[in-house]
Amino acid sequence: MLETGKISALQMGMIIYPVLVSTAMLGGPNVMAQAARNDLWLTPFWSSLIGFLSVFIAIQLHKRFPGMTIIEQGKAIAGTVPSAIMGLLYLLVLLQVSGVIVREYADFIAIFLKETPLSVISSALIVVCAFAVKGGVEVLGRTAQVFFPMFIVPLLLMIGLVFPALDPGNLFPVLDRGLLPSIKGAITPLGWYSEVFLISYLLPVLANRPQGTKAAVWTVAGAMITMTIVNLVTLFLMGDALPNILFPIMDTARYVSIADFFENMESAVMAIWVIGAFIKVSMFYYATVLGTAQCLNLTCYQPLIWPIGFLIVLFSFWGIPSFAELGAITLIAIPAILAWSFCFWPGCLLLYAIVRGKRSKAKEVPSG
Amino acid sequence: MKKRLALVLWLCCACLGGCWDRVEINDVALVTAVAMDFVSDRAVELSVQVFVPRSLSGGDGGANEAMTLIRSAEGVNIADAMSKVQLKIPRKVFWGHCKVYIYGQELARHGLEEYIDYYARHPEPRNRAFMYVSKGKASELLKIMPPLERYSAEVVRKLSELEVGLAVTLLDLQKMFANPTNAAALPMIDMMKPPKKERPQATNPYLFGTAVFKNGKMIGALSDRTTQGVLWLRDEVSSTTVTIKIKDERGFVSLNPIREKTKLTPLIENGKWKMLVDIETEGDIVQNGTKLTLNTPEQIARAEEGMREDIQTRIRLALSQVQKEFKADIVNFGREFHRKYPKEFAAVRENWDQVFSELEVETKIKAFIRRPGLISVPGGLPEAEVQTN
Repeated sequence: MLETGKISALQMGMIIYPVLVSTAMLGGPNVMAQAARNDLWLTPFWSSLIGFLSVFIAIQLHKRFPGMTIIEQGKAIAGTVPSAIMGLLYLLVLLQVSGVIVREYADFIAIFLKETPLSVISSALIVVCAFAVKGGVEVLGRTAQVFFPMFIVPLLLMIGLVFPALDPGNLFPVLDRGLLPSIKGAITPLGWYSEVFLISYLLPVLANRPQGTKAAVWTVAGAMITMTIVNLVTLFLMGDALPNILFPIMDTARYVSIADFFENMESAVMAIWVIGAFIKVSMFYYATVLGTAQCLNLTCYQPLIWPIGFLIVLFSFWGIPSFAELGAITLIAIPAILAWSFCFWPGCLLLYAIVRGKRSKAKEVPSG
Repeated sequence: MKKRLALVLWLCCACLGGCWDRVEINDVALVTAVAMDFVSDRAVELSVQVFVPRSLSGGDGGANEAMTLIRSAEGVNIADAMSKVQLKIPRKVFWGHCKVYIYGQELARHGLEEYIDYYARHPEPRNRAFMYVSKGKASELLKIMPPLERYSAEVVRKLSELEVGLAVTLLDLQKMFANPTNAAALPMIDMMKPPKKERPQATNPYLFGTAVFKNGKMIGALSDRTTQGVLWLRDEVSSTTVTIKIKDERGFVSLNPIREKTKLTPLIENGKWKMLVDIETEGDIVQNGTKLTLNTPEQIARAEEGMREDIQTRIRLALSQVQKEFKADIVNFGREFHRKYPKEFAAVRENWDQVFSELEVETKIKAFIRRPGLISVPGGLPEAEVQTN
């Protein structure tokens, strides 16, 4: 086995939670409001359905092939040659998605750090993430655990402080154009939720496997609740202007003003975003590195870390000349790729495995 | 050895700060207020009031030294004018502390929409900053050196925070321009006439009414008193004093409403659009100029009746202008109809102004007088003249 570390189910949840919500922390409410308007509170529910489906697929695959990641499962199900082709395609997807995530991070930071070159911002993130990946899954799990409160507390604090400025009336009229707009708004978040499939890389290293399912389901549910709350808060604050404001949560934090001196909390949101992006990129990075190593039958994955990190930085520039282009990519293309690679393709593998009655031959003894 | 070298290198790296976006406090010019004035259809004049930090440390600098400096420039739009203003200020302009944005009335009449974009797009200006329309030239207001506050922007900001008039933030304005009724309102400010002998600049700006916008263009102004009515309808009254006349009595009674709640209930009955305005307010007596003691339930009831009538008149006055004259829905009636009757509202959305102007408004006011203050009879009135019932 390439990965020798062990993490707990709770740590897995704490890694995956920022993976699901950190992108949404930035432009989520705006993206959803563009289609759903004031019905955006319902959107996370629709899109979380694919999250639950992905969890189901990952768990079922793992039940049939315990101790394997999706790459190894692909090998076991589809045979060497087809799975190698699929695996490489899969890794390309991971690289591209990681690149886009890094770019989103860098573009947001660049709004405030105008002079700093984009490459420096993204490389700095990748370097830190590389150290985390180098440490293996245990380091990833522990950093996620340490950062989790730093991710949640500023968010709750912000909501509490901005509370007096909220107008719940903005919720109305409820569903005046039917359910369709709220479903349309769910297209982009679909991609975020399908990312929960990354548990495929973490389930094999769980110390307490029976709790894995529960942790994964709760993570998706938690992400859904978080997004719903954040959507409601931004809607209550911004109302009709929400579809025009690109980074609503940052603007919400900036709106906080208590007694004239407790103001301008956007640095707290920046912290949320940096921490979230760090965990998210680290997880994607880790999945790419581990997947590549497994695909190529390497005996250790560490040598791949720096080259792949370099590739991720490159992918964050290739084909993305501007924020508008980035927006166009992240609205439809990326969710489609994500849903394909994290839900549809593993689902097909699972179906094929069920139809052909495939399971791993030697049942691994569950540890912990 | 290798490890030690790595440690030294690491320490060196740690000492190097980021260089690209390094900002030192003495390299930035803090904008405290900005004024925009109309020049021609192709030019806008931008004036910024910049805080002078030296004036703080001067100690005995005295009152004659200005706390702020003002620089103006013309440009085709705000960003263009801003780049020219920057040529006249030796430090990098920073918007993060600018809480006052003043549009000249003439500019407002030509349309504001294109002058909001810059501030909403730029990452520095705060969404909580207050927006105003000035009666005269906006840049004149920046030049005032008010006796009480440190600079004019401070006066205006504090007035808005007192909530004595309409207070509209940058975010509110964005919301107003995004809402389906196409109407917006901004507080207006003017300069007080300075007392004759004093320096002409020793005065301060004050809030004196409301500028009414339709489709981004200012179409008229409401007086102080009418603004009060609008505030009642918008549920934004917070610390106003209501002075009433009691029926069949000489003199006035002043009340300070401490709590007020306005509820708008839209109603469509048989195709007739109607707005029910429910107001519940309570206040304390702050001055009694009548002969009544105002400490029996009957007298209080008469005073409450007077209070109701006064609020009623304010609202009627406001509606007559807003609804009939300007046909601009700055009292959020459209929003309420949209929320309760989305389909019906969608049908009239295009000519909402017309529907709004023909809307029937029914007001129901509940006024309560809770406390008499510290004395029980009209102060300074001979006992014989006091009416106890």
